[in-house]
Amino acid sequence: MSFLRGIATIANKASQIFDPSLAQSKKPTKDELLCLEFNLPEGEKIIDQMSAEVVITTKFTRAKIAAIKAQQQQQQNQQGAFSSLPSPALPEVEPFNGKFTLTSNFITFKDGYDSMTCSFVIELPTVQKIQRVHRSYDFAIMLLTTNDLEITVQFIGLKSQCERFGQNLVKALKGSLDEVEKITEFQCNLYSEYLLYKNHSSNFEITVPPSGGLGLVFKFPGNTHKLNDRLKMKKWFDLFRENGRNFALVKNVIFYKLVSYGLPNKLRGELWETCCGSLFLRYQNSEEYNTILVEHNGEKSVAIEEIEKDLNRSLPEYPAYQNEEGINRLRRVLTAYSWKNPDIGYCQAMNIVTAALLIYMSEEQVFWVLNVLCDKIIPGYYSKTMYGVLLDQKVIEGLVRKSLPLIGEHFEKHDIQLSIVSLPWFLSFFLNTMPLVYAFRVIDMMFLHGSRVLFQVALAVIRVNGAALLKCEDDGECIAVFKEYFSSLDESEPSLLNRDRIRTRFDNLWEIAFREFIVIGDNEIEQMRNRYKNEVFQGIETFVKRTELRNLPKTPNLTSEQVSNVYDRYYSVLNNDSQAPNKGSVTMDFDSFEVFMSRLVNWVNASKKNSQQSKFLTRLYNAWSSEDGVMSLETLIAGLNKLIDHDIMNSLSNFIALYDDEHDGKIDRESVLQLAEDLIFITTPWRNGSVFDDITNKTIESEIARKIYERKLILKEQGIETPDDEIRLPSEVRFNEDKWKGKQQERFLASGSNFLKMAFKYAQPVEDPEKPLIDLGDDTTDKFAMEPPKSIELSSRNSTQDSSVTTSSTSAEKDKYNAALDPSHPTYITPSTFRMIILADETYECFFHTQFWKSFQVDQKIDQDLGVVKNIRGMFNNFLADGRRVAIEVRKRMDDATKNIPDNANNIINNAMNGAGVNNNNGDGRSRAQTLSSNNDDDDDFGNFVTPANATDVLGDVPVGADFTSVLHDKKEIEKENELARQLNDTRLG
Amino acid sequence: MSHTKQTSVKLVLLGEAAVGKSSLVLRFVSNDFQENKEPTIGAAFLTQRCTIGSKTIKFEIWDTAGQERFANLAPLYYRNAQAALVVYDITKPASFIKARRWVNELRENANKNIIIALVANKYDLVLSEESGEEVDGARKVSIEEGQNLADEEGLLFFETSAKTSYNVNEVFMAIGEKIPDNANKNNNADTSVNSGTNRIDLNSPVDPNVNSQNCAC
Repeated sequence: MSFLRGIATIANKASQIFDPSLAQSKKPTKDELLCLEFNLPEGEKIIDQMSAEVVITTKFTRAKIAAIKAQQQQQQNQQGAFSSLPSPALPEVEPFNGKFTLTSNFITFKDGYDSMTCSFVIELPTVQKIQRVHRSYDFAIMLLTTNDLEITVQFIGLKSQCERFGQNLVKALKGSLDEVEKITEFQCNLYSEYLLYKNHSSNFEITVPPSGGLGLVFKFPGNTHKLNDRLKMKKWFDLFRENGRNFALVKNVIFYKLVSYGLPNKLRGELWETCCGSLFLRYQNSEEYNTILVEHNGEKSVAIEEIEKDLNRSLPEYPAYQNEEGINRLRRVLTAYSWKNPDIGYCQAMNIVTAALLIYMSEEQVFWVLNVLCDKIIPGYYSKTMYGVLLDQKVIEGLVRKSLPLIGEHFEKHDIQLSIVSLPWFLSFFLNTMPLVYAFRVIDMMFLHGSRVLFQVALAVIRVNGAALLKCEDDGECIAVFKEYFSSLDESEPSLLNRDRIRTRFDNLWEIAFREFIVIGDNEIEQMRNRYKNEVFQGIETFVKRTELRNLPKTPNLTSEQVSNVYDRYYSVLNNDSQAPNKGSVTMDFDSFEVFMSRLVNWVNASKKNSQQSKFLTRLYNAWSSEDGVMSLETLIAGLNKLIDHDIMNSLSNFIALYDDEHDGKIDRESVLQLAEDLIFITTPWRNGSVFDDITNKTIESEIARKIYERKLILKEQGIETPDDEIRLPSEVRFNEDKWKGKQQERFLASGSNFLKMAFKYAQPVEDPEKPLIDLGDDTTDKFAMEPPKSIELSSRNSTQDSSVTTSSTSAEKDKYNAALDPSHPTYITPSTFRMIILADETYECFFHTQFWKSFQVDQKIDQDLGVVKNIRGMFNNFLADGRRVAIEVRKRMDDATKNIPDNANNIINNAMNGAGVNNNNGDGRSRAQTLSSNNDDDDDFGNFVTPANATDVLGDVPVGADFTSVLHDKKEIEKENELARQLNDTRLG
Repeated sequence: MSHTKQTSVKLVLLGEAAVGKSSLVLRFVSNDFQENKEPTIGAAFLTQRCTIGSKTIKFEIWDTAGQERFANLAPLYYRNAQAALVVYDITKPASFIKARRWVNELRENANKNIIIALVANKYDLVLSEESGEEVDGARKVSIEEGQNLADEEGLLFFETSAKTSYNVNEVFMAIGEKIPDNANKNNNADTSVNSGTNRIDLNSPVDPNVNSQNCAC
């Protein structure tokens, strides 16, 4: 069961679907194992544990023994000492040896040799008396419970340990004194106590019969006579008297037998609780059920919608469910559970199970039984992906192959999928396949022994239908066989053990399930679950992803591949990020969004939070969330798709829409200020020069081309004839990175300040209805481009031609600018003004043209690293990885100067074009550098043709020798370049 | 009847919860209707034989659970299916959206030649009890919307009522007619079907008796 346990603790979290390794059960602690073993509520802590020998009696067993003894005595007296008649066996009070444990709220014991012979759980407040038994040779205590169990415990261990245990026990019992009243009150509402009270065997005074299931009013299913209900009741009455009940109960062989015979109607509900341990939960959380209902009164949810659909469709043939009373109970329990465990919410089949349980139990009882069911007995069965039940179908298929190999082979041969057939059995515990009375027998056993009962019964069903199944050729025929079989469970047939005895088919099934398949233990099932786990999770993951992707809205700007990458990233953030507080959720909160964005774009850094970043991301988050403020994958994809529109006009429109809070086409002053700041923020990597934009790249490319061209001319002049394959792009080119960085930084800073100025220059006062609006609407951008308002046209020319427009603004403009800032004159800009300003600015125009949407790295698969390295690489990537563009530039220059170019021009051009693709080795590069160095004394913007010792080749190989480090800025720089070269190589090889 | 060929057709029903999938099957198989039918858990399997013209068709019907979380089981059932009914409830727009998704999923993952019928169920709910005419506003998905989807995707289209049995047999008959003669469930070979002749005229008067005679109910 520890696997189940492991699953249960994180049950139903989406994380499991996406990362099966998470489902790997963490090794359960000793405390957890004990809770599992005795069905105690989670969180019980072991206080002390010792080996002990226990003897259990009650006043009834003592009386019984006394009576028998007296009878024997009498017989002996009558018949004399030499009687030949055997005397009746004296019922012995056997001692049991095992682990005796004290926890925060319980005492537990289980026999170490055969747990079926004796085990018990006693809730501390039911202990009425503790007494030390004085024996000279060992340490023993006697416990007396409120229901007359008298347990003598003789500890086996060092005296000091025994003393300590005793002290701990006394302390714990003292602590539980407060609970005595509460538990007594609770017990008075249990049918077991009521039964004993009615038969004068209870210590309690119970005047009101306990509440219970619908069956008390609407009759229990089945014929009570045929079910031997009275006899069963009597047996349980005896057991309760001699072995205790509810909170202090000794389970022995008789107990297990009685459960397997089927529970009597009126005790069934309570015994289910007792078997599965939900009794303890209900006692400890007595208010919770009603509180949940009150707290969520009137609230709506998807689960509730689904529940409502099925209320009238749950055991509709049972009279209570043709009645408001029954329907209302069902509604309340299902609803309360959906709030209690929103990860599950509501799953079809729960309605049938709940409706069935409600026949024997009160609402609150069912509620807590559902908790134990879903958390411990069948975790994952009703979860959103139903992984638990899917996994168990794999297990049953595996068990069939193993235990019933003939049938297993037959299924395989005919491609019959047992799982299709058996799934409903497991999901609804045979409630919708077998007649109800029989399904309840299965449920009786399941609450006692756990989910293995389902496997045992399923195997037995397959086994008894073996002959018929071997004739089936497809799933449909198998279903027909089972249908026929289940409807005939009532019919009589000879007993399997004794052909002369006639019994029902069900009795025979039962015998096979719990005799033949008793070998199917929890361990085996657990092992099988482990074996198939990954396969099942994988399957679900693939399916879930496929379905979700299919159901996303159409995204013209994102390919399905890219959407798939975003999907992976989205869930990896939700599931794996320890910082993300809503781990396992399918919706994304702001913090997770920040993490998500930091992995998607280079201008967000989740580990360096700042107000500017969170302001802009908040804006994005709100824009990309649904109307009620929830961000899901769907809303995120839709938003992302809009923002990264590759068409600059659309992209700008969608971008400015982020700031149009009122959706009225007016961006007010506050928003404009925000907008200007945000522009500076999102251009950070370009503004600080860590990434080059297209303008810088183009200039660099052009410079490289110029260098190559000049080199060729020089070589020509010197008359150096170089064979085709030796003519290369300059091998020792270096360029001054900082210079380019600086230039780009200036440009971006200028654009940033220019934007704000322009925005306020062309802002319109809010109160001025006379002034015609510049805004021509979102769709009319082209028109605007053709016929811009005059003043705007002027300004746009200004700014494109002279980026230092700052200094040239007239005084009139200044006035306007100041007026715009005057809070008493609210102003706004329109989306088209925004577009105009951006388009008029070369740097920002270029940014929105490509840099912005390219910065969303939707092509990167989840396993590819998006770390810092990527960004540094990106700096050179654009122009270096594509030597072709440089080559074309060279060709252009060559063409321009055609007349001067010697005959081998074509070769040069060809080689220039291939140059970037052909790799030099270092030796060559250096020797060539030496020959060329004398001819180079250039010091321009582009950089140097350096001396041989300093030779580096940005387009070809990378310097490796120690000589070269001196000229490089630092080690990082070298790494950067090495990295670059490696990447370049990769690109070529690719 | 000397020359009847029997063809087995695996047919799967898909659609949102409580749109009436099981009821359509119950009507078709047993000519019965239950007001509160228990939700299908996993899937139910039923068969029905019908005679259409000279051929006998044995429908092997997989009636699936409608709740969203059961959707990842659906591929188990539509695997190798030759026909599918995608069902929605004309009073529930959400169920129509879901139907569209099912059609997409089938197109993507099911047998290439699968014959799909789009079925708009619960027609009885939009009819007034007295006049028998449509009540204004009762219908939430128009016939045109359904027909458009069917035209776009090349589906058969019917509005039905499992309760009154309106058009129910017709759906299965139309599918039966489209099933190529030589088809059987293990034969997924490409057999083009003459789709043009099988268009369903929704305006033609419906006489359920004609069809149920053919049907071995």
